[in-house]
Amino acid sequence: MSVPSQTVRARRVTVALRGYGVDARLLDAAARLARDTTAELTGVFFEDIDLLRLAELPVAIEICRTTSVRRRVEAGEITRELTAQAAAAEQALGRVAAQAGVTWSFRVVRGAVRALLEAAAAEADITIVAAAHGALWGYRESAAQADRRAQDEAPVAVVFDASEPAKRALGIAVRLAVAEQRPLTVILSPGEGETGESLREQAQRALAGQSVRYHVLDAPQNSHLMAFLCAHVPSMLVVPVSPFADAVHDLQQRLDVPALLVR
Amino acid sequence: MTAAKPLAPESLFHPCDPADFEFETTDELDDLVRIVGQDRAVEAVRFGAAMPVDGYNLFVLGPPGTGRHHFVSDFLAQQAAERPAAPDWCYVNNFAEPHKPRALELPAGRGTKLREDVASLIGEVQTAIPSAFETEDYHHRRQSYERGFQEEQERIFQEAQRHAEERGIRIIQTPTGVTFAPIRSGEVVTPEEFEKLSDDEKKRLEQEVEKIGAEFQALMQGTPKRVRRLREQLRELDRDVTVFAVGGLIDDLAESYKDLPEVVEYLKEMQGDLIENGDLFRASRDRPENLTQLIMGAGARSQEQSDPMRRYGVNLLVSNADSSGAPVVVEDHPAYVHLIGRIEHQAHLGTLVTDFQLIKPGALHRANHGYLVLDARKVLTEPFAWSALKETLRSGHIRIESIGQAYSLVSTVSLEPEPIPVQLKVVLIGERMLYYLLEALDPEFSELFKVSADFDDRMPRSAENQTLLAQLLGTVARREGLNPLHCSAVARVIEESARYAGDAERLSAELRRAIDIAREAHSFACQRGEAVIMAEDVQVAIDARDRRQSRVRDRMQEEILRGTLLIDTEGAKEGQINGLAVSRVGQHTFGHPTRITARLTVGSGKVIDIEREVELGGPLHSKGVLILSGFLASHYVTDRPLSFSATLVFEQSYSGVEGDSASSAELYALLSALARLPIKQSLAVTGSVNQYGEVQAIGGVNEKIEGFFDICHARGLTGEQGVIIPMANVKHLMLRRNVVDAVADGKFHVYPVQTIDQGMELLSGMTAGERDLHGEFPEGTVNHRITRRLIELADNRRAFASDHGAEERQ
Repeated sequence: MSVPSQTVRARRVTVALRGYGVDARLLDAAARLARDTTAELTGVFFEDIDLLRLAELPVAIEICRTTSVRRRVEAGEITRELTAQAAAAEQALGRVAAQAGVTWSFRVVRGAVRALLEAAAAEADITIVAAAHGALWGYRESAAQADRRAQDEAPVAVVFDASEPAKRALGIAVRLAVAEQRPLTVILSPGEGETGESLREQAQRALAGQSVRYHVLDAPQNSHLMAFLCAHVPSMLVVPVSPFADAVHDLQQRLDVPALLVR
Repeated sequence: MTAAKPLAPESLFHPCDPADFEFETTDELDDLVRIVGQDRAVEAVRFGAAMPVDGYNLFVLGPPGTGRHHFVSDFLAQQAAERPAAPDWCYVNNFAEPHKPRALELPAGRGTKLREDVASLIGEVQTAIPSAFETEDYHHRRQSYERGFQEEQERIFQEAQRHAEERGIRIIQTPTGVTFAPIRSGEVVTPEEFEKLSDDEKKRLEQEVEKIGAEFQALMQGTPKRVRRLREQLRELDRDVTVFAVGGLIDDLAESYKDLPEVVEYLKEMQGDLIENGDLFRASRDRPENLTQLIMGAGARSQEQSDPMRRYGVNLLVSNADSSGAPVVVEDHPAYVHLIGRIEHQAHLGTLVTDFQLIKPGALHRANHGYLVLDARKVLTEPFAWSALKETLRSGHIRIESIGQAYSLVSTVSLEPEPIPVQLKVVLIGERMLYYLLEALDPEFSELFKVSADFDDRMPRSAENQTLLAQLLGTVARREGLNPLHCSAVARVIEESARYAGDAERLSAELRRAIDIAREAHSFACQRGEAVIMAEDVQVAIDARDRRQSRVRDRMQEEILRGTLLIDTEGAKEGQINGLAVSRVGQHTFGHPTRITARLTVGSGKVIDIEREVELGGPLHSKGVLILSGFLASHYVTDRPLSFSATLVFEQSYSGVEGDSASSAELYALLSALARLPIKQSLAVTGSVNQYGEVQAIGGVNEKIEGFFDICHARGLTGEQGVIIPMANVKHLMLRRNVVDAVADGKFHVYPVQTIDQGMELLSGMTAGERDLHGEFPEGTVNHRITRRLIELADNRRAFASDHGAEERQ
């Protein structure tokens, strides 16, 4: 993670983890970010309450994402799997934190994922949310294509609504784009009483003098932000916490894109 | 029979008179532009080089140092200069079968041009494709397709979600897929709540979950089809953009090669591949490890992604852009891979990889449409090189494959480059023995090398050849910055050349030796501060060379003089004679005397050659000894059987004896023993003998005479000493100056003989004797004594047999 520490400081960097397996590179990136921003690193593992309830029901069936095969879910199976993944995540986080030399903590929380994500984002300065690894509905490129896209011109995307968190998010997004030699896509999301034009001016003012290639795009209504992002698949999405946490949660269900929530 | 007379001094050495030359020094002579004294070989090379038919490759045979290599190279260079330049050869990617690279033949110089053109094209493509894909239009079209797909997916998902919610079911993602949960009041039903439901409600929910699951499964199964459609749309878009970006570039290039259909075909294939693999040019390069790579896990890029030239570049195997004629390639190290080329490998991520760019040419490629000159011995001793050369000539194609592949030692997948048709003339240069062995043992050899150019090791000592040799020396002197040779020095070199040839009427064709003497004489002339090499410098060089090489000879002579090796040079002994042998140690040949003795007793007429009995005698030596028996049985007594047993031995000989040049000496010793007639030890003898008692020519006559002379000279010449040689060898005499001087002073003698009788007279001092009218030898002659002794031995044997038989009967 190559964000200069003198420009961005944070007290806490949280990495939000779910039961999709441990992404070692994401953890490593989070640890570096914590080191560079002199923040404490916190790992939060979400146990989806709906999943846990479902696991106990006799009617539960599952359709496999990769094969479309239908099968019955055995009682306790999901619980055991989540527990094992939480343990693995904690171990992995401890390892990368030690390597980066940052203080760290880890906890497992249970509840509705949307609420858990909002809570995590509310108490951290920066929350990194892992990609869902296998979006159910999205267009999934082949591994080779994805690699190429990762190295290619896929932009860093940031949602901008002129709020204070949005300004900080824009600052972080700019530095990420510069560090990675990527273009920046600024998605304007005007709030009540604001026009896209005034937002554009603010964004352009903030970007003036920055050595980054950027595009400023008008976002559709919030409800369509997800579809919009699906069509402009970025390498990373940076969003201010409010009011986009919901959108991020939905996005996580659909896209293989990591997200940074900035408070 | 006439008595043998000693040769006059002028018969012992045939000088070269400097006055016969029309120059003072070699500076006055033109450079030599032809080879000396090898007309037969020159004609053969000329014939072989001109024959346009397969199989008429050349084998140039003959001794080293005759100028074979220089002549062949120079001659072929002249021939090649008159022929058109050979074509260029390239290997390019075979896009359909990458492991079988394709060979392209282009006129000389066009291969280099093609390589540059393609490199330039790829450079342009590297710019054109990314530019084309950066346009707003492209992005809009791509986004339009992707958006359409996503919207369709969203619509289907939303519809499914809504439909499920209406039926009290929520769709939830799990780590491995999707599942369906019944809900109440917006929350997933807990297990406790579910238990409280009526059985009918449970059954209904179960059926609903099953039904929705089945519907959802059907929707999911439709997704891959929609994804395929999207991918096809995107691929088609990318293809269209790539065609637009590069199509014109390749068309322009193909137009400039329209006279070469194979190249045009290749360029079209390249166009197709570029369109299919435009992504290679869209990946950015040299980006440092970054966040996205960390998060997304970008893999290592392939070599082709790093450098598209590896896929599309032209491997210019052979370039004749700067050639003005056909190639003449002299391969000094004809190892297998140096002949047929090789496929190199590079280490990449811990494994060895290769591609058509790593194909390297061999000498056969470089010499194609021209001449390839090889040293036969090296080709035969390099593993697999000879087989590969024959296979290439037989098939008419150069097939590059590793030894492991060729002999099925390894089965890993490697390249199989398209074989390149070959049309060339191979010239092997080697010793005669190699040629004869190949002729005898390799049935393919005579099919593939139909022309032999046999370089002679001697040439007539004609005025023309002497002048040519002088020209050669002058040419070498100029080329190497040596002092010019005075005509007297040239004369001395010629005399030495004749001596080396072992024939006063011939010159050695081993010109390298004459040149080396001139080089060494130059050094001595320089030491004297002279600007011209004189005869005395040549003589010093010859003497110094002799001195350097004569350690073994000197040690042997030393031991003779010290009495360790027993050689008498005075007095007379019965059954003992000085034979003469020649030894060769490295480059040095020298003669030396060796004592031969004969002892006899009553027996069955068998001459026992002790050398043969202990297997120290070679077959020619044994043959010579057996001839003696034939001579004895027919020359003296024909009405009685030979009734003696004789033993012949080379005294103090500890190594093999070969050749029949001592057979006359052995006969003299045997006759001496038979006649009980001492023979002079002051004479040494050489010459072979036939069954009629005629003395025949032998080799190394000069060295043999000098070998005995040196011993006598060291002990003090008495005027009685000398050597008996075959008359046929007189023309070979080129003796050292001190020998000739001793003969001129009457202190040493060289006797040529034609018959054994002449030799016996010289050795015994007694008349040999001829048969009278009654067929008897006169009393008081050698032959009479021998005859009488043979009869006596026969009678003794008969008496012994009679007594012994009577005793046995009693």
